[in-house]
Amino acid sequence: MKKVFAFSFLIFFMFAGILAALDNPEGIYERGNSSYENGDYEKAASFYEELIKADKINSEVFYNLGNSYFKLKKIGKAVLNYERALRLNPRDKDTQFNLKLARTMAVDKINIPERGFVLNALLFLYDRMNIDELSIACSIFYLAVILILIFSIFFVAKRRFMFYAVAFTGTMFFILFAFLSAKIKDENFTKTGILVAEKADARSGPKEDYLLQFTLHEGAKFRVIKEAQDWYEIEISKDLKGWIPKITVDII
Amino acid sequence: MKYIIIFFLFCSFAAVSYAEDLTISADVDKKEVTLDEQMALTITVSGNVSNIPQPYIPGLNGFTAYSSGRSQNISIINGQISSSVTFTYILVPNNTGDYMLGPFNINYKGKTYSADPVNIKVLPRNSQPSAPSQQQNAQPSDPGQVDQDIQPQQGKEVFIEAYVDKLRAYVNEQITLTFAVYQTVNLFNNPVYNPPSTTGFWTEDMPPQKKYYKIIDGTRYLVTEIKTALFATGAGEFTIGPARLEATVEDVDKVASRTPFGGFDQDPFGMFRRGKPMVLTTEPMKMEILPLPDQNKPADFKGDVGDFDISLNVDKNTVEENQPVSLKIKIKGKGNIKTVSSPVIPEIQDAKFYESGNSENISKDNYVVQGEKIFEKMIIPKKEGGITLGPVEYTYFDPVLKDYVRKKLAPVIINVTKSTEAPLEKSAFAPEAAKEEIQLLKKDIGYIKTSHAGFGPKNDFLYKNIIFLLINIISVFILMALYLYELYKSRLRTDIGYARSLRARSAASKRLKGARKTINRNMVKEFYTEIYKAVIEYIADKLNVPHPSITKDLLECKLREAGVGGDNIDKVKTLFDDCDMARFASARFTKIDMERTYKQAEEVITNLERYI
Repeated sequence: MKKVFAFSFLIFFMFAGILAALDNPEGIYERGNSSYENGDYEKAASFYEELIKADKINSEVFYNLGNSYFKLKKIGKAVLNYERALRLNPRDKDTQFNLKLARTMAVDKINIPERGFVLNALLFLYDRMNIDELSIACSIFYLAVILILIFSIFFVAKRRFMFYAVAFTGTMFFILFAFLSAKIKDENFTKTGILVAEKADARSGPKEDYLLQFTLHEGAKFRVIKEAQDWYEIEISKDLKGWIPKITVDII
Repeated sequence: MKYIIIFFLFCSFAAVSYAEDLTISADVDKKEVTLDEQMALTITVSGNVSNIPQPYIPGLNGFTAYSSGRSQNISIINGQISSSVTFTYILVPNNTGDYMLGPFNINYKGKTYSADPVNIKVLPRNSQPSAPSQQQNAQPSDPGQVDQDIQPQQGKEVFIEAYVDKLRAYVNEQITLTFAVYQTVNLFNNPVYNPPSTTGFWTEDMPPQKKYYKIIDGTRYLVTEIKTALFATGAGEFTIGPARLEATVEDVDKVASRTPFGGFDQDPFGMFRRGKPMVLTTEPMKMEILPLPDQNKPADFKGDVGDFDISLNVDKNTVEENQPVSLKIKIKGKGNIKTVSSPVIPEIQDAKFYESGNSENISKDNYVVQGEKIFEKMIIPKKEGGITLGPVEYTYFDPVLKDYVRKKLAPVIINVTKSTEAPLEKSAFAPEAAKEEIQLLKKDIGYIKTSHAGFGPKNDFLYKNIIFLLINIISVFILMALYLYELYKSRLRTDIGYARSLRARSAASKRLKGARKTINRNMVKEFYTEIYKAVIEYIADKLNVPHPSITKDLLECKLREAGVGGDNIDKVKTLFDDCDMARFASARFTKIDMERTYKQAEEVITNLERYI
């Protein structure tokens, strides 16, 4: 009887502990980190995954999870999580570095078309800001335009100056707004996938009997265009499309 | 059978006639030649073909042959083209004896044509050849003679000679080879000088060319000398090969025969002097190179021959330890500077020696190779105290004294003081290249992040936040409201009629309220005055007419213009009539009348509001 009591007591505490841990994302995060430090990458990954499942995320969680998968030699998952971390924090140097390293470990050589110097300069802000930052920047310029317009209503004499101010802030607003729209579209409507299985055969249709077109390896990045039952149609470049099973893919 | 014979005859005839298409012949300008002379061999190929190949010249034993060009001659006779090509060779005999040149063959369209061989007799020097020579070249007559005094024959336009200043020399001793061209006529274009082969010698050109005039037997020659210094690299017998000059000279005979007035037939275009190609060669020379004597040969002798002087200096006599001292050894003198080797400096344990380069400075004044060579060394003393450099010894062989000379320099003492700098500074001497690159052994990912910026749900974006969106949307409305307000204010400021019309209603109701108070106090006159004023001012404001000037008729007319209906106008009229009446007969009006009038006034204003 005593034993049973003790056992149930233990179970209760275990549940309580788990519940407490679930309630407290900090705790899970810390435990993930300490598992990583001890070299138990499998456990660390499971803690981080738990956080993500509970929708308690930030870029650090994705980054650490990417690291754990990298150590477990799961390049696909590592790339996936680094990409996710970058979406939240595009300027993070560690993530950029690790992603680059993980990409070099991937088997497939996928040529990403080089953007020239001009395009890079134009998209400087786009590459370095996440959605929220773009939203704030956009909003600041938008409110600035409105504020200047309000001033121009009451200070008629300064209208010339106001005109230039509005022209500048307005242009900035439109550029940032375009960036923001593109980012939101990217987030919601463009699906980018990473191959997380060791390899996958891309077929000409959503069934095993279709013609095998090419084979992709873990870590490959592609756009997901369509889905049908358990298959995704993916596009690597304009003339490289195929269907691969859903289970081999994770969407960023 | 008969036909067959005829056919064969025809064939052979055809073959013969075909063979006659091309003929080849060889000829020489003289059959006997002395060793001093040269002869010309001409091979003429003629035929009615346009593309005549080069004839094959068999090895011409005993002669040195130079091609002297080809000339072509095409003639058309009765539509028959015949061309002949003459190939000219200059032959220089090498040995006496009887020679047979040829046969000379030519291959043309798979057929071989040959010319008969030519017999030549080569006579020894100074014997008179049977045929007079047209041109001769001068030769140093005897190799044993050191400086040849040339006795050129009269009428020689161009000749060359080559000689050396000594025929017997030590290894690495300078021998000056002089090549001279003597000329009385102009040389056309640039003569081609082929220097003699000097196998076994180290050569050093000695510019500039020397030009001077020399009179030999009453003829003034322009002499051009090219000098070359030779240094034998080993002992033994060596041969300096023949030097050669190819030149085109003015044809003196032709020039001489030109008379001031005559001879259009000879040279109508005097300016085009005819050139005569010449090839001149010199005799090879045998040189005897003596080995350096073994007697008295010092152990440290390194093979420098000449006359040298040696000096040594250091840039400072006192130095801190681990600081460099630069040592310069200068060897200066006559001889093959390029091969001069560094004298030995005995190494010291307490110092490190580094070669830091040599420089040489060679001049060829008076056609003697001389100059200086500086050997630089860097010495880094390792310990304080004194270091002694030297004594430095240097030996060379002097070919004039025919003995070895030893030069000795007094030792140099350098004081080394204690270093004032920390011993760590030693590394300052490590050359940049010796620094190690950071080596990336293996690439790994960056470490995990332990800090974080809070946790949030995945789709928690600011652009979905209601407050954020409201701030942005409301600000537009604020702008619009402020704009409309300003628009309204400015209209009020500028449009009086509009302002009055806007004010009309409120002003009227104010007056009506004032009138209302007078009802209770039973002030009939005041009441009707107020009512009248309220209505008339209201209409005046609305229609933007100055109200003191308004009359009932004008009012009616204006209201009609504004589109107010007749019954309303009538109501206004009756109201005004009542007001007028009350002002003059106020006693007749009771409180009830006043209440009714008040209502009427309100009604009128409300009705009019719809139209104006």
